[in-house]
Amino acid sequence: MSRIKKEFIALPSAIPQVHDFVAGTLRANGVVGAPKADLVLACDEAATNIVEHAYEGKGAKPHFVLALTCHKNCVTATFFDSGRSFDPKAIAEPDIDKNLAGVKRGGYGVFLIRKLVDKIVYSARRRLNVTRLVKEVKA
Amino acid sequence: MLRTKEVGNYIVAYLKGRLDVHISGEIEKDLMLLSEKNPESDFVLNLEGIEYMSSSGLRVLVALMRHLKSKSRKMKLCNMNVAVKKIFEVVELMDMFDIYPSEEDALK
Repeated sequence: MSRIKKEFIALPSAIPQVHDFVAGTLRANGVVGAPKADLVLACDEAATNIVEHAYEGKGAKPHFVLALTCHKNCVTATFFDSGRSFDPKAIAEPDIDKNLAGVKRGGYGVFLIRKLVDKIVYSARRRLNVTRLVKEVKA
Repeated sequence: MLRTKEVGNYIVAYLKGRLDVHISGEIEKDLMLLSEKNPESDFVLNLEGIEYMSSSGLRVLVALMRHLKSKSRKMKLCNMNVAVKKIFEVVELMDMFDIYPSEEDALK
């Protein structure tokens, strides 16, 4: 098992760094192909949610931590942030008609996460949000 | 800065790189500006240079399609790689867009 974590500024400019961190760590642990691509995208979406929603209206130095744990048969990506609570499991599926009508923008991020990983675990305690994505892999 | 060319009534725009939240706002602004400057043109977005796309990129494409459709103009996508195509399939958007294997097919 290997575990590595990194702190990121909660700004859009950090998303390419999240991408590189996840892709590099998975590659180094022998996770390649579709499972790697799915995890990179799922982590991008989870980080983007933190960047776009968790710290909306909040001041001072927003940041989050991403910890990646690679087991023999699964990878766990755990996000820690202290922004607004956001349970990805409680978000409704995107409405394409409303999107096309301009009533609502987006909503695909959480939907993608749900489709790309096997399990999402969310908890919020004492202003700390913990979002854990679990995907089974064959290393 | 987007690379573009005019072919008949079409503006072909070549998107490249990682279309994530970091860059999608800028791309959307460029595409909307391009649409304003060419108010009668239809659009072909050549995605050959897109190595990666997140939902932020999808959001840009949906926004541009909505904008163009509201003015009875067309938007076509072409040269999608496997990774980008998979995202469209996962979110079940394949049928919502006009997707072509090549630029030549899109311009027919």
